[in-house]
Amino acid sequence: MTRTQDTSAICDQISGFLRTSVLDEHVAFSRESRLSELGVDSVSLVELLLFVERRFGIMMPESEMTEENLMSVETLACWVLNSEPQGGP
Amino acid sequence: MRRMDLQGNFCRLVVQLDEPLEKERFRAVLERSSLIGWLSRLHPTRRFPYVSPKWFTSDEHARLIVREHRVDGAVGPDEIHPRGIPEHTLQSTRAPCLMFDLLEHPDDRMIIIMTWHHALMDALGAELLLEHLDRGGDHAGTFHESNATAGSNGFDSTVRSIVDYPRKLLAARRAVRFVTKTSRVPIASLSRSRNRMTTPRSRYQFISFDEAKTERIDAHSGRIGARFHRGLFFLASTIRAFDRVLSRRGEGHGDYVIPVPQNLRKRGGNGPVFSNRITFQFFRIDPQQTRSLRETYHALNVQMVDQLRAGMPQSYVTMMELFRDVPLGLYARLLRGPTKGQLSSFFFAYTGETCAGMDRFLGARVRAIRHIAPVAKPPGVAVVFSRRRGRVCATLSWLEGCFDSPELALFNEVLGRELLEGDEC
Repeated sequence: MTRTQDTSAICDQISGFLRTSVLDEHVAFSRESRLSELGVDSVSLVELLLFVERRFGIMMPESEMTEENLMSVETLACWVLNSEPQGGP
Repeated sequence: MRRMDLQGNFCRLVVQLDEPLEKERFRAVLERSSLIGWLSRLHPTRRFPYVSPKWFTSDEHARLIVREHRVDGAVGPDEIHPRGIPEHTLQSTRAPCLMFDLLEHPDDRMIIIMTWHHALMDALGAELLLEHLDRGGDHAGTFHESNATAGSNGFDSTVRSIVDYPRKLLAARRAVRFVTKTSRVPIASLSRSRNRMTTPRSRYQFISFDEAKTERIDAHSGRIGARFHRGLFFLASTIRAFDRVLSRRGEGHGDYVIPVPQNLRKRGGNGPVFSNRITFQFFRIDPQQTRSLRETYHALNVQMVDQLRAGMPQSYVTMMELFRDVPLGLYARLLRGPTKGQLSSFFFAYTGETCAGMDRFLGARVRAIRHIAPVAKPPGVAVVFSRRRGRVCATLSWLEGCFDSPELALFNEVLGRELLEGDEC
């Protein structure tokens, strides 16, 4: 898979979690939507990061909890991709 | 008639207007709203022991209470009435469980106080109701509501509740163990009296920070590491302020135990209004962890993440469903048992931006919208932080006897300093 495809796949999983577990069904969003403007508050942000931990095996350290990394589904997906172990199967 | 609630379970939302509001227009909106009509006729009743209380609609008590008050004499900008908030006349076991007070001030300011029984709505539900009224009481948009009585009058029976007990007990056991452990004595408390036979008067105080101070608070919370968890930052500051007051008393005190509500609604939606859609997280802070604001915040943050990772909030919901089935007396004993009646150190909530975008209510300019949390005894103290147009504000409510005047002044001084500067001063 290309890096773009990897990011897209991760975006889909994160978006799926947001759709089923966090956001009201009437909320329309894209991977570029600002999470804060969708109503994602501090508790649901932690739940989102715990989902990332469960699904991808990576927990975001406090030092990397920046507005850049947590701005949107896409920026979070990029962080996940960049945080995965280099190389692999 | 059996009592359905513990003492002091009535909440208030205070809407401060800088302009007069046409009272008849307000009454007309209330009368036009089918949601208000439905809510005002609801009341909870438990017909059989060990069966969840049901919501019934009553025609007999369908009269919506709207009281008007004329405030004579000058009052401060954040003051509601020289003699305090008007006492409400609600009872939890009969409709209505919701009422309104309109206070007209001599300088044309008006204050609307919505009072309701806590089981009817939570804080966010009340804000959604206010927004519904501001739209003229119609149901336009994505407003949706559940019918409380349709489902609850149906299937539940004593036999079915008892059969379901083992499943609920298993699902709730994690929360029961956790809450029991977190709430063990000794618990730090400001309440001086354990006498539950008397009901001291409730007092309140509004605390506001302007734009410049809010910027300083937000910058400070970022430096502490609380960029995304402002609620915990406010809680840490509040704990440190309480700690100073208790230290001043010179008495030994236990750990700080604080239950904090968490909204269970899906984010970005427009309802529902009815019922409590919350769970709780429980925090326990050793006074040794309050040596610095950063340390206090970090301890809270770790506990929050651990509870969410363990699925504790959902387990707590199941635990509360279980407790709702037991008779009130047994429920009270179960609740107070582990804590020897203390329950917690204080109640705390951070409700975020209150009624975002509501600069006017039915045409009148809004100055402030604030929640006044119910204060039960014990712990007798509640602190609610919120934002209004981005600016930080808080409401402190307490039962007389929890603070004396010097302690209240000290609490305010320390809280302000912790929020603005904390460890940096």
